[in-house]
Amino acid sequence: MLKLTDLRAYYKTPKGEIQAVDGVSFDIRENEILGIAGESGCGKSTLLKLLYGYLQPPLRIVSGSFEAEMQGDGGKVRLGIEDLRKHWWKFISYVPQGSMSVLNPVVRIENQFFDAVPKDYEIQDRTIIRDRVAGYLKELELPVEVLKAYPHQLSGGMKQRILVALGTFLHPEIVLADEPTTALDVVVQKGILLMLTELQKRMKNTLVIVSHDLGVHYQVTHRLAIMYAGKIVELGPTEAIFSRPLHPYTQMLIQALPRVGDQSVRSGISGRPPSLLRPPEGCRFAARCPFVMDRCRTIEPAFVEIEPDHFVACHLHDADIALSKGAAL
Amino acid sequence: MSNYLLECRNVTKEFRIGGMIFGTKLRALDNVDLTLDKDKPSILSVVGESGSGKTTLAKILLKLHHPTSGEILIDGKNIFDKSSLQGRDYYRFVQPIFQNPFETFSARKPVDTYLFDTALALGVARNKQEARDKVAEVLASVGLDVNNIAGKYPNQFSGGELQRISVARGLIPRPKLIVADEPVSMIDASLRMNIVNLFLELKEKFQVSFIYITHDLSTAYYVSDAIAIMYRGNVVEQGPSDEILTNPVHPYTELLLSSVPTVGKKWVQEVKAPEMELKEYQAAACKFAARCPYAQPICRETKPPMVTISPEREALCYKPVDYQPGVTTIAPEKIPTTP
Amino acid sequence: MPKSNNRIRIGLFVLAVFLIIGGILPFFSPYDPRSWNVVPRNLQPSAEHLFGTNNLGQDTFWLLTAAVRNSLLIGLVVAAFATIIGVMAGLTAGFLGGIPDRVITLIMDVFIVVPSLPILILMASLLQGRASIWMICLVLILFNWPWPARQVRSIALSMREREFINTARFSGSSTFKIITREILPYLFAWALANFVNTVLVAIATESGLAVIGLSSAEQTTLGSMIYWALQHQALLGARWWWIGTPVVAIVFLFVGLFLVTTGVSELSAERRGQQYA
Repeated sequence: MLKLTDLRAYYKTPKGEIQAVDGVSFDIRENEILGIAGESGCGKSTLLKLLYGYLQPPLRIVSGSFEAEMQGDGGKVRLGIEDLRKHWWKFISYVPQGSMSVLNPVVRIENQFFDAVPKDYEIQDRTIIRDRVAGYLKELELPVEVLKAYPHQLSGGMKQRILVALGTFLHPEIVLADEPTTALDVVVQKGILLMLTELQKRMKNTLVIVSHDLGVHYQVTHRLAIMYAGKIVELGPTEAIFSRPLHPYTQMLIQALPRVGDQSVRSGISGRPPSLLRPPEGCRFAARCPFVMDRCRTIEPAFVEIEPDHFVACHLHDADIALSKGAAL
Repeated sequence: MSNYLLECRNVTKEFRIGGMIFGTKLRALDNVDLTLDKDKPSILSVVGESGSGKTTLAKILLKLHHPTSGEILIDGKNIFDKSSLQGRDYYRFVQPIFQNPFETFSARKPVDTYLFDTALALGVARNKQEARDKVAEVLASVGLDVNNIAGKYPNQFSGGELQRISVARGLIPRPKLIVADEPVSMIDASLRMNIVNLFLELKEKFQVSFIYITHDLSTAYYVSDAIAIMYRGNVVEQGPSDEILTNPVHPYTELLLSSVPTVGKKWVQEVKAPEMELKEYQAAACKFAARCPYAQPICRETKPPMVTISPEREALCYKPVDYQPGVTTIAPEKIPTTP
Repeated sequence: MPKSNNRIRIGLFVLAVFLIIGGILPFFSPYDPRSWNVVPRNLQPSAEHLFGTNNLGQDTFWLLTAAVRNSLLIGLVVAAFATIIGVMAGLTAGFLGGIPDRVITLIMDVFIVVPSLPILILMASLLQGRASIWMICLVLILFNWPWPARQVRSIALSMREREFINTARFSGSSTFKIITREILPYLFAWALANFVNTVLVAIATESGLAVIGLSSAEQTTLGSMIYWALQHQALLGARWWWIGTPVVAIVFLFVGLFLVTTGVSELSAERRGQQYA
């Protein structure tokens, strides 16, 4: 449905260009939950904005291609990134992070739903829309009284649920969620994530979740992309990534998660990601990688398929290294 | 002399919400009892969702709020008593770590000014040179080089680095207790272990106890010796953390455990969202009854007792006493054993 | 960045000119501004008398320097005291809260609600021109301190809850130190803009009073120059230089002050925006 090929999008700033998304290639398929994981500043939020077609200066696409295909009235319609804007809410919607300041504080919730309906939507009558929204909220097990409330009267968890409802009530084909549960407690988080997965199961659409918490990705996603310093370093089915992580960064991320019941010593990842203003040559993870080799510092690893549908960008999986490892075994 | 470093006795905090005339009272903390031993430094986690009262507890321990009733004793002295532990004496004993590292320091001043101020004002250094040495020392103990920190403003650091600096500042007066209010919530999941491991290290090295307030059970399990689970102002279960988290007695603890997104165990059940939270605070009976899968009529009518599970462990619940009123020791067959 | 810089530069330049006119030149004046008939009357502007002379036998140019000096003095004195009192009151009310806050807020609101101009007019007419400049300044200070106080109070209120204030406390800083080192930096740029604005308000009010003849008769100010000119039919008599000089001076002075005020607030807004990035 969405296909990115070697996409590069940079922010132009007085200090230089921030290479937030630097050569990303992957596709987003129908009926799946895709996760994008990475530390703060790796470019995942920017990537999500691109997927949404939210291209505002100083962000611009430098090179690469972006293709989208949506279900139109007469069959599949091709769209470029600029066209996405016309189809917000209906084809693709965005559930933002930080439920705090996203809802208009002086507007009642029901009016926020009205505002979300695009001008060219077939139904414009408010009473009909309100009934539909009320019915939808009921499906989501949200109290209908919420419609008459103002945002500040709701708890953080409730606001996030409303944002999810807002993003999905027109049944879009793609739902993008940017850190949907970051500021929330575990119990509320579970509720919201399960709500999202239920919706996806029912609507059979696509859900893309961005989060720094791998635990969340494990529970909810079908496929997972690991981002580091503007690039995707590993991509594959979630189950494969957790049982056979190919990239050292992925391995470290998984290892850094404490688990209840497991008192083994764990360590966080040391160091900081490289600056996106002047990224280093070669593999960007080289400075923090425990398996770094000479070639890592000069040659950028290619993004290759190691197992079916499981890709990684790492020299450890270069043909010659892999062979010698196999020989050592 | 007291045996306890910290003792909270029947601490209650009520807030007035909704205006002067028609408002109601919200009991943010309801008869909370907690202790920290004196002989060995330990880390006590206080775990709960938002609205559980854990942040209010932190603020009261830091003397930023006053309790409505009850006492807080540090080293046997009531901290709200005018005659003891006032002002700077208190700050030499107890130091905070706040949740948002970017708000912990003013954006308009270099971060190290706070460290220098602490060293000079709390009597740890007598002059600027001594202060500089002290600052370099504490920064080194959190893994930072003073030369990389000097003169820089908060926006030049990452969240993790700022939290470390915040910890360093707190260590300067060699406090006996550090109250950390959700210190890793705003840090990426993969980087939390760095800070949490630091707490473990500092506990041994500096012999300082921590109150670690969080909603993240995984790090709580990893770092703490004891844990107190809070729900709507009550401590519903407390005791040694590995026992509680592997063999919970209170249904809420079970709920929390099942909600943690752990790698290796997939979620099973659907969770019911609480509707009107205010009603839960004011319940004259068990506040968790509306969500509890094991609730019985008695749970909805009267307040549950604090049941002793073991000498170090207790839970606020009717389930371990077979829903009998007036019993406060657990029925022997219900004692949880490690499988 | 450039836009507000230019604004401030132009404004400061204008103000600098006025400072020279009002601050330095009066010392060189060969005439006492209060004496009449020291020069021939109603002369057109010439090399000897740059802006001519007026009906009272005064050199308009040197009169202007005295008038500018007095107007500026009033403006600066009133602004300085009003800002200092206002900031102190606002900080106390906002940061300490409780009873000091209620008391100060009450006083503030009284002075905001009661309109100052009628009071001033009343006072001036009662005193029939015997009102000294200092009395007028006092009343102006009294009516102008609540404005900065109000805003400083709300800034202090919002800052009180911020976490770094707690950090400062746990660093052993005294309340005074917290107010000066933590909160004051946030106020500074704002207070500066407000100061300049108060200068404008003070001069405007005094000039307004003077034009209708209710200011002090002792000292010349820009407003009183206009008053005397009007009294002596300068408009009708087409003696442009007499009435024109103070009017043009006032206009330029206000433009200069306005440019600096808005320039400073724009600059601090931009700085904050940049800091965010």
